[in-house]
Amino acid sequence: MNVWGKFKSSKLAIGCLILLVIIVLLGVMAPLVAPNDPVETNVREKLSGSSLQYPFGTDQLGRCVLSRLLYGIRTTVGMSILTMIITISIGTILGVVAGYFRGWVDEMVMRLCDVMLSFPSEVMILAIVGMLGPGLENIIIANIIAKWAWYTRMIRAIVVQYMGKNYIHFAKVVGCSPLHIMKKHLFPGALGEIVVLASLDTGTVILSVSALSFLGLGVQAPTPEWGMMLNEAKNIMITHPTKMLPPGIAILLVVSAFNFIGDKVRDIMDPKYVDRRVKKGDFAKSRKSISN
Amino acid sequence: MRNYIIRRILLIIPILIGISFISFLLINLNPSDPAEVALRVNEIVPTDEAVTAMREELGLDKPFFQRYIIWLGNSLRLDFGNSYVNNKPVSGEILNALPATLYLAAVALIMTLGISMIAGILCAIFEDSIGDKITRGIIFVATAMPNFWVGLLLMWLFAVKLDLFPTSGMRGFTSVVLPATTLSLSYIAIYTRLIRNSMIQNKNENYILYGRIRGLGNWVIIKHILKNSIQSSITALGMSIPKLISGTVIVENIFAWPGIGRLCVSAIFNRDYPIIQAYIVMMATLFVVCNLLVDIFSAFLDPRIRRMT
Repeated sequence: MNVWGKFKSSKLAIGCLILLVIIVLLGVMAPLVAPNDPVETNVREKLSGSSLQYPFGTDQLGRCVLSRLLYGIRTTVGMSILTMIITISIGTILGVVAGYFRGWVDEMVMRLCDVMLSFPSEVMILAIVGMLGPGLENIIIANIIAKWAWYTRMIRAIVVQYMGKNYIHFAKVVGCSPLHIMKKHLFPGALGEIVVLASLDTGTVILSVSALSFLGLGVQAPTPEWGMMLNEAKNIMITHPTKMLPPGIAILLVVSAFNFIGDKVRDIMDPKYVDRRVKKGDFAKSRKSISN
Repeated sequence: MRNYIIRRILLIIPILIGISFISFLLINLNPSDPAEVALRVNEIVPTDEAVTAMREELGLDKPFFQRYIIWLGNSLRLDFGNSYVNNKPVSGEILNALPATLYLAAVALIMTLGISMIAGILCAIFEDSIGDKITRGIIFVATAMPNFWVGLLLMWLFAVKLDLFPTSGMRGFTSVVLPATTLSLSYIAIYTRLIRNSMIQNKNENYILYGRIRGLGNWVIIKHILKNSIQSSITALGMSIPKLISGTVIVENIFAWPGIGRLCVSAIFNRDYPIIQAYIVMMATLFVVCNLLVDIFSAFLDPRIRRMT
């Protein structure tokens, strides 16, 4: 399926992708592009407005807001992507094993997933942070534990679909080892769909990481993080309300870009969605409502 | 139908046992010794004798499974032990905070239902009009806005600038408006989209075409579409009630709302494990029970589901 070709035809989706690439690059090159040290305090210049030295002004401790935003990409976006990669890896390993061997292995993994999924993920995250205590590593661990079950189940469903294909049967008949089949036949086929799963949910992880930091349960001062910057801005809301804008807008932009790409890719990957509407007639209208 | 309900209720028993076991396990997996924590939060120096005495008092000297069984038995009687911080029973603390949370969640739910129904129906009727496009834009932005930011912006605009509502606390009806709006905003976005899309889908069905040929008035047709498209949204709404209640954590902390979410976060800072544990068990149980009710309700509406499982 030519996902990329269809994806390319949407200008807005390409725009979102470019935006995300730029943001990630800015995060990677933060030491080069940031005008100031993000943790250096300068009380004499505190809460100043926009100036040449501090383009977005300074916060309550006189730290450069722009530099903190740029370094914050590393914590907020970087850590969310890392969380996603680990979660998906765990989900892929368990899902492929469960979907390939079926039987008692499958049964065990799936029942474990059932129990994990009976916890709402917000409560699970809070529970684990509660046990481990506040901290960045702990909210990453919490997010992984809260989400792996869902991915395992989804990836297992994808794998089960592939297991019925003739080339897998053939590989089994000619005596390939299970590991070889998983690595060479199952995984490459399922990879595309797994990547889609990941892109769908990264926005949610960013929201979750920054929300926990906002509550003070995540990143600890003075590490720059967008959620925590908002928390600091909250305390000076009455005197300097504009300080709430930069971190809020940053989160909004990144999350909506991730969400838009996720929606777009899902529409492309799920031909059912388009076909059903086409059958009803009214083709032009349905295309339009999908692309919006 | 009766068989279906009985089977479903029996199925949740192993899930509930799993939940209680995980909640219990989490506390015992944590790196610091609960006895030591209990001493520290009361500012007692944790000497060896004090720790041993505390372990005995908390029953930590017994083997793991025996403790689990005792804890499970107590939990069934809603006895979650005493808070480490003020030594009051946890169940009392939670019951004190629960009404505030339920009140907030109920107002948010009513707002979600009312606004998303009206907006969704209007968008579907006037599909592709300017109003529909604007609403869709708002929906897209609303799902991506972190609700803690929305809360702060609302607080600044309506409480600080315009001084219409109090900034925090729970005093009188006006104080619930801002937290409930913050809480319901993303749900309003989700359900407006859901109702709109399912109504538009129904609009193209044959029975509507037939209705139009029969010469039914516009209002009757809209009523038909609505009846057929609202069902899936109601089911989805039932599923999100526990999410709404657990989602109050952030909102309660912004607006200093005296509910269980705030209780839980302060318990996390104080390392007050019994409260955290009780919160987890309660929320997970609520989640399971709500799912059960939604399943039974959909089976009641749709006989096909009953036969399927």
